[in-house]
Amino acid sequence: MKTRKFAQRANFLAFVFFACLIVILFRLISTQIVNGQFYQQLIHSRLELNNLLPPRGMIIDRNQKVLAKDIGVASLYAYPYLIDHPETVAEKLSPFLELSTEEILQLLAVDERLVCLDKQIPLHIAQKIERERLEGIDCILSYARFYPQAPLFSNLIGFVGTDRQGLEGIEYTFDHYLVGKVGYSFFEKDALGREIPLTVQRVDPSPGNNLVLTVDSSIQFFVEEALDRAMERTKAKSATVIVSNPQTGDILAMASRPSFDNQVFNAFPPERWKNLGISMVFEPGSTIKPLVMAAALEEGVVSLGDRFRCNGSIRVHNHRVRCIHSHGEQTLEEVLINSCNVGVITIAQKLGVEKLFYYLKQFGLGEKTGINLVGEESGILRNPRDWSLLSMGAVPIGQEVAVTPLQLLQALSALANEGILMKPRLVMRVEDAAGRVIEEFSPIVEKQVVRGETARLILEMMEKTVREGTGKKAYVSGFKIAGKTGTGQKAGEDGTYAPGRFFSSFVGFFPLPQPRFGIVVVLDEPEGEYYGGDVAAPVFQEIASQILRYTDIIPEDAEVRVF
Amino acid sequence: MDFKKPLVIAALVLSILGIFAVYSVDPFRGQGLVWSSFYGRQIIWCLVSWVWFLLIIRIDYQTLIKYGWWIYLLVIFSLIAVLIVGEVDETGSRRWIFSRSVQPSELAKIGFIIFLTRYLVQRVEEFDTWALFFKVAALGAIPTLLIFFQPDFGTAIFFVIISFLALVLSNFAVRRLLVILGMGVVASFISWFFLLDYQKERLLSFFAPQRDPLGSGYNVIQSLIAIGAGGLSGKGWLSGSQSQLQFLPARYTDFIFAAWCEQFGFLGGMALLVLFGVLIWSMFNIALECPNLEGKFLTSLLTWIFVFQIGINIGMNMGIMPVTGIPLPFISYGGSSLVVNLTAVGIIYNVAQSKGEEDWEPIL
Repeated sequence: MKTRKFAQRANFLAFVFFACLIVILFRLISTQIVNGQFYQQLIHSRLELNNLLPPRGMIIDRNQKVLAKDIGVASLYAYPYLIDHPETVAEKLSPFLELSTEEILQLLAVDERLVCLDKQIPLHIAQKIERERLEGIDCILSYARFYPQAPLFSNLIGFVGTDRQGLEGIEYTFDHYLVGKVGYSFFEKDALGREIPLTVQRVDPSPGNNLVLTVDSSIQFFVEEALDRAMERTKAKSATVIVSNPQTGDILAMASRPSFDNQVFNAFPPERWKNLGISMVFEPGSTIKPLVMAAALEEGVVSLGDRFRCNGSIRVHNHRVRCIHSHGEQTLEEVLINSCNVGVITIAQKLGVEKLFYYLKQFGLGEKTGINLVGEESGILRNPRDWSLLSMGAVPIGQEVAVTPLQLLQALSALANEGILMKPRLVMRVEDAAGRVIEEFSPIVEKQVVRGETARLILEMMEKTVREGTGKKAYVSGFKIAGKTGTGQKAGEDGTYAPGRFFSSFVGFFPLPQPRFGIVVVLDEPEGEYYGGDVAAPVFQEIASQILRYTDIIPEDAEVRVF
Repeated sequence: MDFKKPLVIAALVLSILGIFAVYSVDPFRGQGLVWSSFYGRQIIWCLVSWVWFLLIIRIDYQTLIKYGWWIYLLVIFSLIAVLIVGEVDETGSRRWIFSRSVQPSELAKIGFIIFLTRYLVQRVEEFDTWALFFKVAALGAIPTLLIFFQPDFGTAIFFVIISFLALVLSNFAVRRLLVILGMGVVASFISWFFLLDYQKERLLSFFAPQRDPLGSGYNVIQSLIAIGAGGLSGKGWLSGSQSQLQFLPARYTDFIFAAWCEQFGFLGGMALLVLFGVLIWSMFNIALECPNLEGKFLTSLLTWIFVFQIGINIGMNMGIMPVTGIPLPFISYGGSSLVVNLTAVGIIYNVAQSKGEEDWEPIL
């Protein structure tokens, strides 16, 4: 009897147990099978992927001087909910930061999980902060762009934005070389959102490549100095200078005024970020004349012995184009030396519309040079179809056409390089972070525009222009310098030429006979004197004499000086 | 039918799976089989306790029952000793002796059950009387309070429940049992004021685990995530972020079931449940088939050691039971509990083995 009773009770307890087992089973089904996806996602929301930024590549000049590089800085973050004593923390932090204790306290009072206190703390200060071992404070390594030569090169190199992408200049156009490859760290967060050490997977970032430019910091320095003085002297609205090597097309210096400081680019209005050397479009005026002369000589429509008569003006269609004064009887050479409008138009008329257009186009006018910079303009060279009957009186003397300073320099450089037009070169090579060459950019020959002989003849004429003609103010004693002045009229808002507003320019080459330096100087609306020979040539002279002193070029009269 | 075989096979398979389970969450497993690794120690404990099992099955359970009172005194003595000279663990409880290798309260469970068996089978005439209830309550209260003051909340409750179940088996009328239950509820309300803060926390977080996700409820949430993320077939052996990373707290002891389920999914969890089912089912049947009352009592109550642990542990892993730090038999890491569990299995095996040999039921 007792046994039967016991069996009842024991069975009841067994039933209770198996009932529990059924409950557990149902719970298991609901958790794992019905809601499995939900818990799976809960885990995924805990994963965190962090980008590890690589240092951006350096920008180096041709003499290995650093123009731009990344330096390590620390970003300081706070986890406010981990900080029990914000007052102490703020007090300890304040001497290291440019923030007062109160300001830090305010930041810490924010109801966020993570607060950024400062983004660019020098590493040595960050180390000191780390040593304080403050609760809830974290330093994260990052990089900041540093331009050791700033504000030199600002308009050429440009700058990098807060997201570390190049925004202007070389930093923009060569961004893909410079950025490097972003690495990442992947980890799971614990309940407090901190990384769990064992879960960290890391792919190291690979640093960006270095860019070796053709530019020369010293020459850039001469240029920028000279520009500053010129701006002060002439009160021009803007100005630009480019120095290049006619033999290779290498850009040695490129500067604009007004300018800015790319280290603190935000402090300047965006108009100042422009690189005028490639974006300024102006009527070149007389600086175009050597090109017309070269074309005529090349085509054989004129010869050195030809004589040209200037009465002070020439009739083109129903208009009269004037010279400064009546030049009288001139040789071909003298037409260029005197920059005689009448003579040049006469020569151009012999050449004809089609040939004139053809050669100007061959010299690269109306087309971008293809230098790898953002914002390059192509200038204006209209097709002869669109020329008016007056155009033959305008185009040969640099009107109705518009160029950029770089275009002008490139075109005239062909005359200083045996008639060969070179493509401008800005980057010599790309190296990886360890210095191994990744890509080499050789000088690129675009085309032979005129025969070497023709080019030499024009260069000699330009040399005489500097020695005894309109370009006298560009003369550096003891050196053979070729050059050409230009004074382009500026169009006003209504499209007609505005009185008293000019682009004064000068293009020059030295040392002859094989010039290694070509300089273009363009001043926009100088006040007072405005002839290129009067305002632009002295700037050239200043830069040229400094370059001559800086390089190893021996003056022509060196023998005399030896004893 | 012979229930010895399924009993031993279930226990053996479970204890082997336990080694794998511990290995899968062992933070030191990378160092190979060294003494500091959890699974290494688990293997050794497993061997030791199975040898111990072979000894236990040779001891006649009648002999054990005969020494019931001595065993009871030994239990009381060891629990007092723990309170005086015991070692404290990370939860602040004074539970251990011998360099934290033995928890006397574990062995006390079996000792107390042997004693209860002895005490009750000699008082068959007193079954279903208030006098017997008060006697059992008083005798049970002494070890229960001693354990409560360690404090070891889970084991103390086990003593209360096992005493109550002993009354259920002693043919107490349902009406009387309900009154006793009511008294228990009142007593637990009163004892709330004697609970330590961490114990209150555990109970509160049981009722609302989301209440404090960084505190005590954290465990249950992480455990549920682990089990849930396992899905049908699991993330695979040694995979799964919950058990492989430090998300799961106490993942080689209290929450090993969650770690298991994350790796082997619903199918793995089911496999464990089936093995436990076979184990308990064999035990119940041994109790029913045993011809004498003391064998029935002893086996039934010992079975509840497992029922209680499995129910509470798996329940707390799945957020349907409070987190009380009770291990999962055979699977959780721990030598002491393995020895105790195999002792219980051994005694039950002995009951099954000796059935029919000695059948004295003269009083019935």
